[in-house]
Amino acid sequence: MTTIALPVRSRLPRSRLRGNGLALAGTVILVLVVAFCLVGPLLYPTDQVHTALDASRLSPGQQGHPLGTDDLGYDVLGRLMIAGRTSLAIGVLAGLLATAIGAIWGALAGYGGGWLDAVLMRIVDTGVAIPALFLLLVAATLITPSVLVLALVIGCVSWLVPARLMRAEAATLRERDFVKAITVMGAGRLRVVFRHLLPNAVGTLVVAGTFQIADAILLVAYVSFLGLGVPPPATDWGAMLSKGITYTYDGAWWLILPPGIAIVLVVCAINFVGDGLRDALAARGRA
Amino acid sequence: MTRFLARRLLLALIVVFLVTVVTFVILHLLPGGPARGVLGVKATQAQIDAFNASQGFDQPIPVQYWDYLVRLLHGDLGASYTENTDVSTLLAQRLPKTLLLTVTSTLLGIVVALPLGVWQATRRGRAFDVVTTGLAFVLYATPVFFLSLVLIILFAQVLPIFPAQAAQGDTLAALLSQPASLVLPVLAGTGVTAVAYSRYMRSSTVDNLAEDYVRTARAKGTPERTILWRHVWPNSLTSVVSMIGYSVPVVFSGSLVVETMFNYPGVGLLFWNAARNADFPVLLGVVLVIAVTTVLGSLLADVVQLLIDPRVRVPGAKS
Amino acid sequence: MRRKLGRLAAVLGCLSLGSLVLTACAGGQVRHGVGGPNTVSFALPPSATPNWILPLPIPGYTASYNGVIQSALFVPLYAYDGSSGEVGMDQRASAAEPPVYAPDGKSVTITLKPLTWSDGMPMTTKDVQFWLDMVRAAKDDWGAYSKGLMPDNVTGFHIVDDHTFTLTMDKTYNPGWFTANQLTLITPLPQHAWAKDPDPRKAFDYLVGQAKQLGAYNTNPLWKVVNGPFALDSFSSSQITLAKNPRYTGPDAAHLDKVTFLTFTSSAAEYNVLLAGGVDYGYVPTTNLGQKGKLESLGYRVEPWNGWSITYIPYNFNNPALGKAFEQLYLRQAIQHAVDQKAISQVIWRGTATPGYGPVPQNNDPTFLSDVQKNNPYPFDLNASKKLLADHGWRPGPDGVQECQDANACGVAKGTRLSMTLLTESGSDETDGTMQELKSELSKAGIELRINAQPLNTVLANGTTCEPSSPACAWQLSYFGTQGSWYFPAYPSGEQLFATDAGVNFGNYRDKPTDDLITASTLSTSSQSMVDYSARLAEQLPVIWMPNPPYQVSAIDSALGGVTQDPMAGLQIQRWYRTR
Repeated sequence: MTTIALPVRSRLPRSRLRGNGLALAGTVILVLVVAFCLVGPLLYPTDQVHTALDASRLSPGQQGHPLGTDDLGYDVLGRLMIAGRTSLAIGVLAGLLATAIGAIWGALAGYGGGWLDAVLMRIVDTGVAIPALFLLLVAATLITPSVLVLALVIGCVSWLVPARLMRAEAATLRERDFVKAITVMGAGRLRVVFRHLLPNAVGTLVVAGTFQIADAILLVAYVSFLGLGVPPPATDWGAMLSKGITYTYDGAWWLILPPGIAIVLVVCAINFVGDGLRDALAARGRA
Repeated sequence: MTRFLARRLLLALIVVFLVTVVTFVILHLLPGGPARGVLGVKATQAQIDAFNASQGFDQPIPVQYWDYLVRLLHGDLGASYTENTDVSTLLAQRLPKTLLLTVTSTLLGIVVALPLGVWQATRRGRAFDVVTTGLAFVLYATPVFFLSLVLIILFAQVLPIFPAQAAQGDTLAALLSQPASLVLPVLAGTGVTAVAYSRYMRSSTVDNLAEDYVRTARAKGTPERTILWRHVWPNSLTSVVSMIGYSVPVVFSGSLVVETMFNYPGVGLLFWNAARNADFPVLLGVVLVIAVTTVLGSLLADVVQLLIDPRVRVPGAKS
Repeated sequence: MRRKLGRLAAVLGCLSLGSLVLTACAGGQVRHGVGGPNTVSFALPPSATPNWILPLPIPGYTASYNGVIQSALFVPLYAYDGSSGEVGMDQRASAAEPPVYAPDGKSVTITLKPLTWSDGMPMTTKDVQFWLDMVRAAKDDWGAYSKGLMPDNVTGFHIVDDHTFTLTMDKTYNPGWFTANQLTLITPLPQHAWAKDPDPRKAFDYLVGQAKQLGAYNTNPLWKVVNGPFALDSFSSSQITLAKNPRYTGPDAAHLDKVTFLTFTSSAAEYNVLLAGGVDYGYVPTTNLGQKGKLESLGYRVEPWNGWSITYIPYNFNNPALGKAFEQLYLRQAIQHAVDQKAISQVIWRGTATPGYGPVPQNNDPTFLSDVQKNNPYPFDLNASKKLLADHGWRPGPDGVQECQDANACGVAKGTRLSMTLLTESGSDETDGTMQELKSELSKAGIELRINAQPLNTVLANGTTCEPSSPACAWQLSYFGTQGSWYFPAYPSGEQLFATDAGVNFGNYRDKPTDDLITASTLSTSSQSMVDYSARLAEQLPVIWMPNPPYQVSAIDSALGGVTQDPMAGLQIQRWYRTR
């Protein structure tokens, strides 16, 4: 759970540079991964729709499959690319949605104060107390999962954290002079929230949004791992990992390590970038 | 103080109540109901109707909820459809085991996360810090099922030191009789808690470092190291209780995955199996337990925060 | 600070060292024959906790392992199993001598064996009458009740003496069918100890109430009165132990001292215990079959356990959109030609499934299997599928999906597209793989198959018999996944599955010749009718025939003898013995 970043005064300028280095590394990794997923299938086309039972479970290198094939004969490298498209798409959409909903909700609560704050935040507390898995399981039986639907569901489950964050920020901003001035001048609540509070919290929101995207990608992987993800033959990294796990005892490492490493790499990279953004934000010296 | 507590308690009760309402409604919105799943493919319509009548499914939802609430207040959580046992008995059997896992993971998580969080916030730039920071980031980014899988492959197959699954058995004693089988699940659980806690610790330390009294101390020329260990560290420590309180839902979700991966017979696995079998009474029972724990955790955290805060804010209190 | 760091490292170091020491000391792994030298442990399938000891099943408590335990304690009137190598009556395990039917087939005389209850009282005809009275009084609450069948079809019960009685039926029945599917439902119950109320309905309710108290199974005196080769030793939700019954007086005494049934919450869990040597008779999850060699080196023999069952995907003939299309035989043939049963069995099921081509189990028993079904009338051939469709006026549209060009040739409205939805159970890798394979092959023939995977509960609720106008008729194809296999009683007749308006005829298949054959198979004395029925449905394709997965792939301790893997999914634990 992240909170508001305040200036960190560090004695050693070297560490600030290292922080930037990590963010740079993260950005590079992300660019490479996105290219891999979006452009990859164009350069390395494979059939990810039709099964090929006679080429099932080949180890890497056999029959021209650099990373081998899975139990239905799909090429693993190609599958990694299209799975990445799904994971990234859902992750980004869900992360943005969660941040957007959370920001508005939190801003209304934090600025409004009083009973509005109490009611809105109690709802947030209730949401936190219901296990997300439960809601996801139920949602899975009611709807047919697709990229958009999953992004919607995950976004609706994850907005709670940004809401709390934004509420704290809004509560602080509310005490600032310029906000008080505008309120006195008669600006409506919604106007204040949308035209003054949210824009002034952009820095925090961007950082929060970045971490939300990382969390959403993890949550998508979790959901697909439990079998509630996009229906086959579409797939994502979590679903690939889930299938791979059933082959733990067979030594089919090419079904397990590639998707797992992909998830770790991407989420790590996003976290680096988020950290870097947070430091940049702090360095601008907000009092 | 008492008024504050009373108000918070009331709010907590409201939240628990709301959780049960939402859960109940959602479960009963599921199409088809559990009848067919319980009675099997060969069940006749008459048998299905009889089942629905005996469970009260033919009543309107508000009535059903009221009945549920009344039974709940009498301590009757209903009976599981698939296990032919009371939900309360099942929970009583499984809860201690989950507590064993989560409490041990929490303690170990704190041991790992506290120093980690503090070091990360200060970023001293030495090799040790770089390595730990790197490892920490990788840990943040690893889904807990992948971590569990890596642990199984490394320590139960490549180097067969520990068993890949927890000991079976109804009682806590059965579980404890094979302590080796607890190592991997606890390690995976610690992965979850350490990640959650170190993130919290890091932010909290960052906040603390920006406090006025720190700036004052720096201005006075106190060495950075002393500031860290004499002022920041104790303040961070006191937020440990709050941290544990707030992170109950995260720890529960993590334990659910760990229990599934290692076949650990706790509440998480019970929940997962009940979800697959549409075993409503068990699902409701588990959600209730989680909700109560979460709410109590938050309440405890808030109270401690309030108690601790006034003392911490006094600058230079520790010499 | 350094000191603190050192201290922390020391603590962590001690923890790891401590855990290593614990591992060494714990030992932890359990050995073969865990209960003692002459005992055997058996692994139950995941989440299959036996929960009913009373040999009167009620809905919701009909799991097969309940039956195994019940038969070990309370000998059924007639037992049918495959212990002799073929499915037939197991005389040693039955409580009565083979039945003698009157020439007109309307009555049967049965002589009980001289078995004794464990409290010393002999088993008599009163015990059978007790069962019949209770089932008659409470038939709507009895789990095995089908309208018109037992006990409705028994009009008279006449006691000849303490060990002989005659049943009179409402009409002539095929003796093979009646013995195998109806008489096997009867279990003599200890009337002297269990009849707590002269009113049979109240007696039934009392027994059911007692059986619902699982926690009391160990102490309740009711469950101590048994006549079978075993008695209940202990009962808990993690294991059930049966001990040899020293007071058994029949011909089928147990060799082992104890048999323990272990419960597991997942097959992965059981497999781990198997690898550690903690189970004598366990099973291998299909995905771990690559480790067969390892299991054999640990002292197990690995054998698939094939069930007396068939597996299929029903067509919903009442579906408003495609029902009429499904009624066209050529379309069903085209679809069946696209099912590559060999590849699915070999690759997805790792060689453990058996292809099935018709309505009776595909083993070689010529009593029921026709040559037509045996030789597969519709082998995997996508060209044949495409030709059938092209010959009947279908052309692939711009998206590759077949579209009807000529209503007369197709038999359906022009413009109908072959795009159908299959409602299937989620949560099984093999089922998912099978469905993907099916979808892939059908797409090559221009038929679009959309897969809708839902939890079993939803599939069961939404994939049943319906009227065309009702919203419940939206389903077109369904598959209950792991429950998709239909396990037959000993006589695999189709009166529940394929007869018009039958209870489990979810797709509403209607075919007069089939109905006639089914009636002949249950109500006449002819045995040819079953073979003809097998041939007809293998050709007529009321459903899509699918490979039949094994009941399980067993891993059995090589020191355990006397085991036959009964296709009827029963266990004859009294015949097991240890060679070392």
